[in-house]
Amino acid sequence: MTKLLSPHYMAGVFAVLISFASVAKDTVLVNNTATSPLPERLAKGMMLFELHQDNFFDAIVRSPNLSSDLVVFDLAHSEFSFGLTEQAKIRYKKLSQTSNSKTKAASYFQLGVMAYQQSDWGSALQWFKKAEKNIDKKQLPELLYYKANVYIHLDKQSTAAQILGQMNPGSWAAYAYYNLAMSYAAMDSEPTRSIISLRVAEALNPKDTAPLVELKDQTSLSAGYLAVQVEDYDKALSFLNQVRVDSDLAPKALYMHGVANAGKEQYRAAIQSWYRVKKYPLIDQGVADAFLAIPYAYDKEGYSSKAISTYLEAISVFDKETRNIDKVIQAVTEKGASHVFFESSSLDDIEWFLSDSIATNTPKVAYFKLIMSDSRLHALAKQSIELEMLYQNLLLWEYNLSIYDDMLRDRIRGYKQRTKKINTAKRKKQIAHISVETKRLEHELSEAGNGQNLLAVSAGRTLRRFESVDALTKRLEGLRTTLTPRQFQDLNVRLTRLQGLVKWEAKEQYERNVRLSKETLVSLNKEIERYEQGLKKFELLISRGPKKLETLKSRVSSFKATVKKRKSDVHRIRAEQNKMLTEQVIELLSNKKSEFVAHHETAQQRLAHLYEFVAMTQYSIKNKASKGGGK
Amino acid sequence: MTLLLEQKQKIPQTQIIILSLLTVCLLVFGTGLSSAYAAEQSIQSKAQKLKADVVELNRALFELEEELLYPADTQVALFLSVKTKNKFLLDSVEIKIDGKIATTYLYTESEIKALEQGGIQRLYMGNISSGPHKLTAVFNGQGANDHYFRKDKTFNFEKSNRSKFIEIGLSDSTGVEPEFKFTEWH
Repeated sequence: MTKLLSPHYMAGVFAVLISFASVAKDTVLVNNTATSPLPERLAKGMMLFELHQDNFFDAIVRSPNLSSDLVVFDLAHSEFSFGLTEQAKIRYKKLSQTSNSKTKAASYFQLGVMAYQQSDWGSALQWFKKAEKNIDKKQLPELLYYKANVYIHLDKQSTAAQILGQMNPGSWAAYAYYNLAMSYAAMDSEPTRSIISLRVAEALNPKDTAPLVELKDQTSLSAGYLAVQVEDYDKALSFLNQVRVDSDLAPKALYMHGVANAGKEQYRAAIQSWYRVKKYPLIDQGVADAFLAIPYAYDKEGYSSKAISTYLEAISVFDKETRNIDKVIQAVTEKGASHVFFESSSLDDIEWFLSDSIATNTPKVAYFKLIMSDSRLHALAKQSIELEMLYQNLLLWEYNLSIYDDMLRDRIRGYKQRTKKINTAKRKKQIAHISVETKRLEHELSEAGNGQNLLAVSAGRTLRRFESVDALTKRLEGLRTTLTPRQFQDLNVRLTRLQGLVKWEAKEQYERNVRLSKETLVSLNKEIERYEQGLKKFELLISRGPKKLETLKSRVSSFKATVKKRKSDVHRIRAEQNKMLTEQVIELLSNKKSEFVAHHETAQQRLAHLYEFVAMTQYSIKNKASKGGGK
Repeated sequence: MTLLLEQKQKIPQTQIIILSLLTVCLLVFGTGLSSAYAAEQSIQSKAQKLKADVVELNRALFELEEELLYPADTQVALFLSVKTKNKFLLDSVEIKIDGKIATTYLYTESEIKALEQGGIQRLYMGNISSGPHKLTAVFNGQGANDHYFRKDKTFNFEKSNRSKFIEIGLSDSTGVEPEFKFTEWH
């Protein structure tokens, strides 16, 4: 009883309770699943990381839910680039009402670009005018480019030229002057204005990126072409010589180079240029013309037999290419343009690409370039690829969701099995037992206080001394027979004094011990209450656990259904889109085929005329010879 | 007179026939063109709506995936940001958590440009237990004066029951190698 009431014993009960409670704590699965929202800086940065790599879809998906103008502007830009024009337009219109003048101007400009792309020249001009005042200096050249283009479309070339006059050298100025030159070329019968504009375009072009180097080639080719038209062949040759041999425009430039030489009646030089064109794919612009021009030049030079053989070669090449186009049209009809040109296909055999006899075997890439050079087909193909990307994205989600669904099913099953093993009733019983013990200790402490029971509340050294005095008293009683009465009495007196001393010490500590015991009991009660609550929470959590998992599982199942639905929608629209793309590609290829058929016929006709001419020449020579012989 | 009248009457009839034929031709041709254009527009508008739906779906799916695979009490995510004026060129990075390789990454030119333009890359997302952890990041690249560098830095952090986001920031320094800074967001 003495021991039960001591503060040490109470501390022991406390320790047991803590250790037990800690087991309970470990058992409780505090599963905080809701993830914290990403800090603004990180969310914005993640979006920009995708945006600056032109991953517009990912940029939109990663865009944070912030109202900051810059974030909204970047989001609108991503949406516009990904083809979500209506959403982008709404955002830009909203941004155009903000107080920040730069953002406002940038939004006006984007709205202008949208109107421009829809050929709504009036609206585009209005937006550009609004944007011009406060637009960022870096964006000003782009704005002036679009503005000048609008005036070109409105046949106001002089206004466009005035706008371009304000532009500093750079890529936008170079493109703008090129467009102006082309519009002059379409209008004027005399190409001086166009050539001057092209020269300005070239002078303003920094030529520091691949597209700008390509623009330089285009500028030189166009200037050469215009010079040939006015029969200024030397100037034409100087322009055409500037087109790079590895440029996509090289076959056309080489063909024109030959034309310029032929214009100067330098047929040998012309034949040399045209022979160089023969190594390019026949479908490229200028190659078929070169095949027809070579025999013409031989004929002009008086090499009739060479002319006949090259005409025959041309006829054979056109015939083969016509059959080749037929083969491509058949493949496109059967498998669709998207499959033939953008996915793997049966035409994708290695021979197609490795063949160096390009004149008779146009590689797939040449057809691909031909299709991509048509702006309408380019837009359709881009959308086809985007839809394919969406389909693949949904396919991946479908796969992942099925895995998550299985995982959650297993988790729910495992959870139920584990919770069966956790015996909460046993824990509750233990806590109830400790609670009863505490109540008893409280009662005994109160009784000890009433009876001033010094021993009951003594602890540590004092308690051990009490125990030692008790033991010595018992031992003295055992020695009573062996000791003299005087010795016994003397020792007994000493022991009584010792007991008095210990009691005095206990009395000294009594108040403090009672206070400590009371404090410990109060803390113990609090702890018991806390762990009772913890156990209740734990039981609640266990009961909620499967519910939470089941909710997640039902969410996964619902998403699975949505993904399946969207996947089927994408598949349907992709099919419609591919059908349209296929029809238009077939139309383009059929037109190309007609061109080759026409070239084929031209070559045959010219060959027939040449045969006729040769036959007549031979006949007249023979005639002259026979007449001479007669004489 | 009668003949003349007939002739006069016949001329407009022929004109009417020609005009009617032309109108029919134009209508047929025009209808063909406009129906093709309408079909294209219809597909475009359907595709646009579908794209918007798939974007929204992806957002929700990423949230669900994060909740499922990386719950807040175990979630740790590492981010990389770069602030430089062409003083260094990052080549690759290796990340270790408690001595175990968490991820390695080799950068492309476009990724470097995106980082330099303010982009932040999520390098790693995973799960760790609560308590103290050690993060080691090793960076390889080219510093000033074409100096090749391989620099590592260790960062100790404490994982609580909230999501832990750590940003590793690379920035220009006065020396030939960049500086590294770790920022804890939660």
